[in-house]
Parts: sequence; C-alpha cells; structure tokens
Amino acid sequence: MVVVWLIAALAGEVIVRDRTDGDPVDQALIEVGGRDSTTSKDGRTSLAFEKGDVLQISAPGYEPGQFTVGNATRAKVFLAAHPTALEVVVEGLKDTPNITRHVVDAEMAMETAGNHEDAVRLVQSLPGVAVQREYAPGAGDLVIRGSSPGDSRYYLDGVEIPYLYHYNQYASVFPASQLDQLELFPSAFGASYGDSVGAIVEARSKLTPPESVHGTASASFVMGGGSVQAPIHDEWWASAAARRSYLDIAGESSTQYPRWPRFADYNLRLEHGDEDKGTGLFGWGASDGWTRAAGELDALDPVAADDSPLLDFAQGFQVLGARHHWRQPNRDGRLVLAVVHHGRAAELSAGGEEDFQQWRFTSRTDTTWRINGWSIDAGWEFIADQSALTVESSPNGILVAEEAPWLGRGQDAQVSGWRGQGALYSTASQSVGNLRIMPGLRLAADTSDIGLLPEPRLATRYHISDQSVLKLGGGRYHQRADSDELLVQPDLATTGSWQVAGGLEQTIANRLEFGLEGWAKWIDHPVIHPIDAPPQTVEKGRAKGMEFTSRYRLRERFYVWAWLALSQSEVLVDRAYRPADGDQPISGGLVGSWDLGHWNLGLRYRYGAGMPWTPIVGSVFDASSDRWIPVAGDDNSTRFPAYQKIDLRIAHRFEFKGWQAQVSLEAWIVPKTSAQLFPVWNYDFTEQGWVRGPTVFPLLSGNARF
Amino acid sequence: MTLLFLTLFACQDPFGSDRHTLEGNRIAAIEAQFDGSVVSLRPSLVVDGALWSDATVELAWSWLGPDDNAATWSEAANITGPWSPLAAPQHANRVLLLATFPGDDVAKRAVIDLPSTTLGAMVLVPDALNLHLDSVEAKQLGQDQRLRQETVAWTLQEPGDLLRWTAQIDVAEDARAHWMSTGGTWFELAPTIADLALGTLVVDGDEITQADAIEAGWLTVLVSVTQTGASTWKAADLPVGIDEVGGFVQQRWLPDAQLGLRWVEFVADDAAPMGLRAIDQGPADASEPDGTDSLGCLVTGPFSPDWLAEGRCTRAQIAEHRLQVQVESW
Repeated sequence: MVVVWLIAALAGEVIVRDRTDGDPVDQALIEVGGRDSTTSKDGRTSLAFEKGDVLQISAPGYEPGQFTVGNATRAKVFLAAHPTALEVVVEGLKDTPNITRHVVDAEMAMETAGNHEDAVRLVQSLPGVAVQREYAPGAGDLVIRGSSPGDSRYYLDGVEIPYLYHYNQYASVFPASQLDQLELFPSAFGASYGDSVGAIVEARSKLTPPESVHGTASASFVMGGGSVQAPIHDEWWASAAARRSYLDIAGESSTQYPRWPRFADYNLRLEHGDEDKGTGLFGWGASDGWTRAAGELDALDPVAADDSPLLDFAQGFQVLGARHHWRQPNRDGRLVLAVVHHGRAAELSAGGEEDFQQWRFTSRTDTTWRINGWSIDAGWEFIADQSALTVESSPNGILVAEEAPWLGRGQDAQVSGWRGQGALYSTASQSVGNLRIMPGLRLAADTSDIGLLPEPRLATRYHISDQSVLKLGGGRYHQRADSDELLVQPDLATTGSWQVAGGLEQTIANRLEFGLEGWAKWIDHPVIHPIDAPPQTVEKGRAKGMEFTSRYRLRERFYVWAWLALSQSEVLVDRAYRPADGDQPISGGLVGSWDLGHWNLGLRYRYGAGMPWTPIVGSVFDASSDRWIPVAGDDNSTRFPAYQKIDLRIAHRFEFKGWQAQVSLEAWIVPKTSAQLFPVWNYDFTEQGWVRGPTVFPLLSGNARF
Repeated sequence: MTLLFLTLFACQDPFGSDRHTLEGNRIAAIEAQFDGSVVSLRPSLVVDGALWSDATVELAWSWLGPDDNAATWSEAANITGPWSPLAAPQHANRVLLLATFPGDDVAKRAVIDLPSTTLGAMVLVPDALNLHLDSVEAKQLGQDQRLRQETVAWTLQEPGDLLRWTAQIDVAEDARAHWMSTGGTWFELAPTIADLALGTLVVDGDEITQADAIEAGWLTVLVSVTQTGASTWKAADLPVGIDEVGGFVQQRWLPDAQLGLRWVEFVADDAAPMGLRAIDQGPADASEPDGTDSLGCLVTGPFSPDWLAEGRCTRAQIAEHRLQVQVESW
C-alpha cells in the first residue's frame, strides 16, 4: 500500500521515496493521462500533470500506489516495500574496532514488548546486560558484563548524559521517536571511547530530513508527549519533541508524596543537510522533581510519622550544542561541541541539604579515512567541568540516599573546583588476507590525576568465509571517579582494567545470525559506593563470561533474538574474592515481534539469576533513640531469587488519510517467586520479608503519527 | 524512590512480631541518668515476654569510644552483672550492653549514649476512652479525631475497650515515649501519650480489617522515654476484665497484697504479672532492717519490681523470702 504524506504540484517533478528510510526509489514508473516517466537513481523524474490528476506509481519491490495532484509543482510519493521484498537485517559481520556491538533502532524500541517505547530500556534486553527486577531499587541501572552502573558511559550524539532515567525506571530521559539507533559496546571496545571500565551506550538521533511536516503523539501510563519534524527552507529542517509525566496532574497528593513525581524532557534540533553531510544545533534536557516523606510513613507510628522530615528533590540537565557530520566514500566523521548543565538539589525539612551543580564543556571529533584498503579512525575528546558540591548532613540522610547520595554518606562538604579531561585516539585497520587487524591507541589525561594514561587497544577479525568471522580483541581501560567524588576525595585511585573478548560470528543463509563470545576483565582499584560511607576503592576485581546470541530480522515485518549469558564478577576485599554487585551467573531471554499488517504481536521473556546482596544478620538496640541498628553480614553473601518476566504485547494500527494511530495493550507476567522487589525487615531485624510487585499487570498505551 | 510504585501496586507480607509487643527475649529499654559525677544505667529486660525470670540474664557492659563498633565489639567487658554507678572514662561516649538471655546462645546487644542529665520519676496514667472494638470506626482512629476524644478516669476495663495512657514526667521538647505491652494495639497520639486498644485492631486505610478483643487477664505496659541526654522507663500492670484482691507496688500488681508498708513473704506465681504473689503479710516499720540481706542479689530498701526487670534479682532469688513492700492502690 502507499502512504502519501504530502505535497501536491502543478507540472514538473515527481519524487518517489522509500517509506521506511526515505531513500530514493529508482525505476519507479509514474503514469498519468496516457503519459509516463521513470525515476532515475535520485528518485526523481519530470512529468507534465495538472491539479486533480491521479498519478499511478509502481516500482519493482514496492506496493503500487496513486497520488492525487494538488496545488504544488512537485509531487512527492512514499512507497511501501512489497511484502516479498523484505529487507533482511544483518548486524554482525561488520569490521569495527568494537569487538562486541549490539544495535537496536527505533522500530525495535517502539515495538518490543515490555519496552514501553523506550530505547534505553531495550538495552536491558541485550546480551551481557544483567536482567534486573523491574521497578525495584536500582532497576534502572545498567549492569553490563559484571560492571557497576557507574562504570559505564551513556552518550547521545556524542555527548555524555548525566543520568538515564526519570524517577527510578519509569522512562528514559530521551524519547525513542527521535532516535535512529542505539549501540551497546559491552566491553573491550575500541579506542574511540574511554574513561570507562564498563560499557558504552551510544544513541544517535535521526538525521534523515523530513520531506514534509510530520510528527507523533503518544501517551503511556506514565507520560504523554509529542514530536514534530518539519522542513524549513532549502536544506534546513527542524525537529522538536517533548514529554511530560502526568502523575502529578492525575493523582492526588498523599502524605507520603505531598508533591507527586513530575518529570519531563525535551529535544530540539535545527538541522541543515542530511545523513551524508549536515550541521545541527541541538538543545535537549530533562527534569525531575518531587517531594516525599523521608521515612516510610506506613511503617511509622503516627507521632513518628509527624516527625518524619520531607525531602524536596529536584534534578535535571540541559544540553546545548552543535554538531557537524560528513559521510563520503573515503572519509566520514563528526564534530560535536556542547555545554551541559547538571543540577541536583535535595533539601530535608528538618535540616540537611545536598546541592550539586556542574557545568561541563564537552567536545569530541571522530573521523575515519579509507585509503588503499586502510581505514584510519582518529579523533579527540576534551571535557572541562566546573563542579560545586554543598552538603549539610543530617541524621535522616540515610533515608534519602537514593536521591541524595552525599546525604546518605553523612559527610558535610562545601567544595568546588574545575577538572579537565582530554584524550587523543587513533585506530588503524587493514586486512591481511582474510584477517582484519585493528590496532588502536588512546592517550588520556585528567587534571585530577598525574601522568598520561596510555590505553592500547586491539581488535582482530578473521573471515573464515563470507558468513563466518572469528574475532579477538581487548586492551587497557581507565576510569576516574566522578567530579563530585573527586572534589571530596581527591586521592581516590584511578581504576584500571585489562579486558579481552573474542568469539565467533556466524550467519546462515545471510539471514540467521549466531554469535558465541567469551570475555574477561581484570580490574585494579575498582570503586565501590557504600550507601552510608564515601566511595572507596578496593584491591582488585575480575569478571569473565560467555554469551550466546542469535537473531533474525526482516525490517518492518519480523524480528526475534535470543541470548544466553554466563558470567562471574568478583571483587577482592581483605584478600578474599566476593561477588561483585553486578554478578549474575546466568541470564537469558527471547525477544520477538511480528507485524501482521495492522496488527503487531510481541513477546519478551527474560531470565536472570539472582543478583547478590548483603544480608542483615543481627541488630544492635540503640536505647538512646529506641531504634534497632542493623548489623550487615558479609558483603554480597546472599542472593535474590532468580527473576523471570514475560511481556506480551498486542497492538493495532489504524490508518487514516494522512495519519495513523496505534493502540497497544501489554501485560507482564511475573512468577510469584520473581515478584520480590526488595527485602524488608521487622522492627529489630529478626524477621525478613519481601515487598512484592504484581504478578500480572496490564498496560495500555497509544500513539499517533502524521 | 520506589515508594510511589509501592503505593500504587506493591504489597508486603505482614511480620509475625511487633515492636509494641512484649514477647520473646529482648532488651526493651535502658534508663540512663547522669547526676554530675556518675553514670547510672538500668536495663529493662524482657524474658520470654515477662519482666521477670527464674534464670539469670548474663549482663556485660563496656565503655565505647566514637570509633568502636558496637556490632562487632568483643573485648572483655568493663562490668559484668547489673550496672554499678561509675564515672565515665574520658574516651567513652557510649556504653555497650551484652545481655545473654536464658536459653540463648548469642548475646543481644544494646548501646546507649552517655547521659548528660537526669530525668525525674515517671508515673503512668491510664484513662478510659468512650470507644470499644465492637463499634469503633476507622475514621475515629485518626490522630486528629482521637485528639478530640474525651477521657474519663479508668475503672475496670473490659476486653475490647480503648484506653489512653499518659507518661507523666518532666521532659524536654524532643522527648518521645515508646509504648509496649503484653497485648493490645497501640496508637500513638502525642510525644508522651498513646491510646491502647485492648485487642487486636488492624486498620487498612479507611477500613478496619480485624478487631478481636484480648482475653481477660493482666496486661503489662512498659514505656520507654528518650530525650537528648537521658532516658528512663516505667512498667505498670492493668487488670482487664478481672477483679482480683491485691495491691500495686510501683504500679506493678502484687496479688493478695495489703495496702501500706508491709512485711510480705513472696511465692512464685506464673499467672501473676510480676511472677510473684504475697502471702503471710504483716505491718512493717521503715526503721527496721528491710530483709534484703538474705537475698542473693545486691539490692536494698523495700521490694521493687524493677529488681526483676533490671536483672538484678531473679524471681527464684525473691521467692520464699520475706521483704518489706510498700503496697498502694495504684
């Protein structure tokens, strides 16, 4: 079928584009009134027509369509690919310096069950990413190949973003409608990224210029929002998206939440050009805020509940920047400059506050040259930040440690300072027979540390055949603590890590992909973040694992992927190894989506062995305050029960003239043994129970596009 | 952060124990006073749900400095047995109490900040509320609604009645009373005032989901009052649906006791709230020796129920002895 979005014409030009990616459609036949013409490679042709004429369009591999001419001088037509010409998407077998690379795009973000149209949440369904209990504390953190959440870096268009999720895990801070694709490099990544001993997640915005004004509107059980993209003039175009939660509008405030959580984000772009060459100005940001009782009022007696202080919390970030990119047969690259403001303020009504403000200037350039079989990646990254932290500690700080970590640590501070970070990198890539060798080097420096940190990296890929690749790579990685931590504890050691990964990528019939990969990390001075004490480094850490993956995809029709991951992550404390926070011995899952015309069916199943946690083994009665102080057992010496979750999705698309709407109904199913969200204890910590989430839960959402 | 989700969707299994219920073995409170020279500490020990025991609770006290970890402290105790008033050493800012209860392998631990002041005597005053489990509505149990409830002097309370307890003591503004009892359900009202339903009363939002009256018998109430620099505690017994002969000793019930300063011989009685009953009574004179010389525990003066609650004396050490007792009507 044909989706016709716009523009009418008088006489002259007809432009035919692919509905999915906007690419020109070659050899499209346009017929009107006995006349006809065929498009060339740019998807264009000239043809005389008048207002009211009906153009008949057909092209190999596409559904035929028609278009009624209006007042304009150009007719632009979008054709949908014919069902027999489905595009098989094969992500593997690409020679990149990143040994492991997982890619998801907007289609998958929008249609994966349990994903709630959220690109970042989709990352949690990828191999190597720990399967965590949704909506439990910390569930929004990405634990990737045994690393702690703070070990990983998250970028949007080359700019690191301060935090990923609104209000725990309810929604990520950027809308999927603006994303082109999102890449995950779980470990042993190339030299273009650094200051991380964990993983890299990089999201990229869509750069395809709109041919006409189009947009989306969406509503879920948490947020509502919309986006619009529009051509402006010549090659200029603009994009805008905004979302806002409405819990604070729809729900009445409670004694526990006198001000309901309110969160919002926006993404504004002014672009010139397209994917091949363009320049853009962008501004995006997110904000979160709420007021809650610091204690859990239900667990307190009425007098103590009256005494419980209120936490007034707000955080947000704003990014303003510019980007220039180019893509040519022998070179491509991008230059990104941005200023990021990140603020976090928490104030307790009974005294105690934490205020963190950071201005960060960030720039990076990534270039690639391809000359005579060589491919050279080179670039630089420079970051300068000015940070200020004020902490007035409070005895109630531990109650709000999740929002205000320094209040939880109970440490007064009034510090500020600047910090500079810089890095140069280069990766050369050359084939020797079937072997592709990609050595790289990253030289990093940080004003908070002395010396230059050399980080050699190497990736090799041996093409056994055009459908089989053996790969092996690794390198040295470093990471400094966050600026606020370094302001308080400038002597925190730099974390270092040697990492290696290797395996086999196999494609069958150019369709079905399999991957088997092993990886290992050796970490010195990993940083741990106790909830009630300042961050500290421990002696060593180590992690290893193996992942099996399989995927199959027909773009806009069907995709399925499955994975199984085995891993072990440990840290050395007091000369003994114990499980690291991110240790998940086994995880796996299956994701599938099937588009049946107007209907879409989706399934996601995830399994994860229980993550470790530190049990309470006793208590001390504090007679001065009539409270029991818990006594923790050995760190991470027990585990949560295994977690399983099934998400089912059924969606129906309604098409109207010029726009379409989709309503989706999802349900999650969690076995009773997996419904435990987190442990709780009785008054003196002699009994332990669980807070349980629902085992079956329906969710309704909808969106519209024009 | 997850509180919102919990508010909307999650649930939690109820625990089998409640901090308001005197049951099992525990250090329920510690009185800490400082008279300007010495520190005095008095624990309140609950042994198998009672404020007395036939077996000794082994007590060990240690001074702790700011950096000492009360959870892992294992060095030799500075004092074993009941506390002796002492001047605190300079390095100390807390005291650790290890209490090994009869039948327990592991000592229970309590810490208390060194006191800086004293608190006066405390009296517990119950008043009757015109409410009963059979008819009370959830909305009547809100704090504002209860503040408007009038009280009358208590007489004989029946199972299912609601009472208001006031801890009468001169305290600082930051003082808080913590109420415990052998039965019933507590609803705190003000820093030193709380209401007690003589039964199990469970409120879920606007609905009462359980309202079961307790059985007739004796109810023991223990209140701990803490404020910056000092703490104290007090126990009292209350008859519920029974009318027995006897009298109160410092608000604790002694069956068959006659009012006034008396010589009393004690016998063990598991049904009595103090575990003791009075027999063979006679008038006493305060100038006479008090009879404590014959006890195997270090106490002086007329009999005090706190000797049992503090672990200074076991019931076995008191039973079969003849001591002076000041018996009152309340």
